Amino acid sequence: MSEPASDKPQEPVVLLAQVTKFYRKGAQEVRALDGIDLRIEPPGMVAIVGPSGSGKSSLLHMIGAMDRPTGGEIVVANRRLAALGDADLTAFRRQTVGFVFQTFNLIPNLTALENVMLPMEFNGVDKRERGRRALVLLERVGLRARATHRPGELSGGEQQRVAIARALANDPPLVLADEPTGNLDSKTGQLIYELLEEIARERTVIVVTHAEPLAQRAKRVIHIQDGRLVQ
Amino acid sequence: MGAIARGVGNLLRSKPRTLVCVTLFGLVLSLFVLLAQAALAAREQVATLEARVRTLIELREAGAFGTGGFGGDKPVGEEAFTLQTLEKVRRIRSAKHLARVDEYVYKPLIDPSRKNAYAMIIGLRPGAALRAIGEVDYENAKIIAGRAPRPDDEHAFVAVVGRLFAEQRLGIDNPQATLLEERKLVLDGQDFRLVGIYSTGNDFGDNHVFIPIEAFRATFNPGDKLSKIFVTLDSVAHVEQAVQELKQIEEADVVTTPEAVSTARTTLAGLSLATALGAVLLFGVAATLVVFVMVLAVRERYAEIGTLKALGASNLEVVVQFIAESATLCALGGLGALALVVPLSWATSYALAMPLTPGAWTAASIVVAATLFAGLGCVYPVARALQLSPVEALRKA
Repeated sequence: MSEPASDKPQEPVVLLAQVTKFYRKGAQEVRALDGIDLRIEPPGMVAIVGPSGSGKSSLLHMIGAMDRPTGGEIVVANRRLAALGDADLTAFRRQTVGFVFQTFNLIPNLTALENVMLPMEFNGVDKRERGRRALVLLERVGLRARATHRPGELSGGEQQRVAIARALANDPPLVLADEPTGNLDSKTGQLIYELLEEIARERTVIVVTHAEPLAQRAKRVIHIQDGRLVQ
Repeated sequence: MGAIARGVGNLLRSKPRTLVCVTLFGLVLSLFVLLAQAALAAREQVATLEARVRTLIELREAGAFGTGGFGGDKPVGEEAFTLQTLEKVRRIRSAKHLARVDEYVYKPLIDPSRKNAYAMIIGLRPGAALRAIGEVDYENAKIIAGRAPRPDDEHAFVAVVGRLFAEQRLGIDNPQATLLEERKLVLDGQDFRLVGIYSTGNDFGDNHVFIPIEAFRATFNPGDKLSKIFVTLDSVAHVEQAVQELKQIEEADVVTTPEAVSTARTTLAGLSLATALGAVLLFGVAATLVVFVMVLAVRERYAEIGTLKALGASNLEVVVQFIAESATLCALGGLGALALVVPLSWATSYALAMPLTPGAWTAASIVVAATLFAGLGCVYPVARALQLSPVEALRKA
């Protein structure tokens, strides 16, 4: 007879063990991350908070395989990142992680629809299917009517919603958002919080934020200071 | 939208900038190709001058003057400039450097009843140049109807006459519309079959008759007499030595290249060098322009490179995008160059007094040069795209 699901220890989606990241700034060595141990179980929203320069974004970049740590071990969605070569890391990013940036980072000469289709193109999804899926995602963020608009024709909030739709394009188990409301007014930010909260019901969303209201919506808040987690 | 389409589309982000870049690049590219062509044309002209003029030596009877060799004629049997002279020429120490030796014998044909009374009958070996005696120099006769004497005409009584001679003495107004084979002319009682009509562009040069030298001898009995011997050397390097040796032949005066030709050669060589240097300079300008535009494109788009990589774009996809951008920029520049090259070639031809006709070679040069520049334009973007990690690219933005 099998054990009840609730008693089974849950597999973490993110597992960090003694992760360090040092940068060299001229002659000075900067310790962006200093012995981070972290375990995050799916699903739900996790907020990383801390003062500027505390290492929040560096931590997010390590989890998202955007950068390699100086030391330690990172396992995301059961993949040991240190064991992956550059090409495998690229494939990992496109299949496992969705990114939302503070400055939206949409490609300016592509329409909202084309921006959302982009990660699917990199993932080899055929054109008709990626068009269909992109429209569904734009519908989900309430921007289907703006599908043919370029970023310059959209407001900041709309651009961020397109960026969230883009992050979900390949249906990744993990969404990483770096200050997603940092460039938005509080009212627009509220809409983004709700959207991220809704997304976090079915997957893990890790948000780096200064915004207290957003952190309060998270199931877990991780504090970081001087590259170390603060309990 | 694939990487290639994105790369092409990137050029439309700033249309005025692209228009300026394409126009500038097209202008520089067309000038580069034209100057390269001019440099080659000048070199070719120098080579032609060296081959045809500097290596050509004229021998005439000692004391004779002018292209007609006047003043040196002596009665048959007393003449000094003869077939023996020809043999002496062929036996000089530099004989192995004689690329060609052509002998000519002339006979004036004076008919005061004609408007242009003075004509010249010129005997030559079939195959030798039709050197018509012009107003100030020899004129290269161009066949305008029929043909020149052929090697199998060696002993035939055939003639090639000048346009004016044909018109005034044979009544042929329209050489192209005349059945030449049916026409004859009589020289000293001997029938000659007309096989060709030439033109030099001036009346004096167009009033001669060329006939095979054997037919000349059989008709006019000039004995061993010759009027001119033209010697062509195999290289400019051997001219000086050969001239020294030919001057040892007492009965001949040796006429070498006039100073003007040497000056023309120097001028052409200078022009060739200047155009070649100009072409090299323009190559550098075009390469700098393309590389600068592409470096700017990459530096402006660090954030975009970082974003694409964060979204899972492979290095290849980022690289292909920039290659497509560079190739499109150069292709548009190439099209601009093709459009500009025709009016610019007219202007260059006029300015340099050199025939520059744009053709398939020009178009091919533009295509090759544009491809080369596109390749150069890709080097920096490709290097940066391969080097940068997503986070580095985002941090640089």
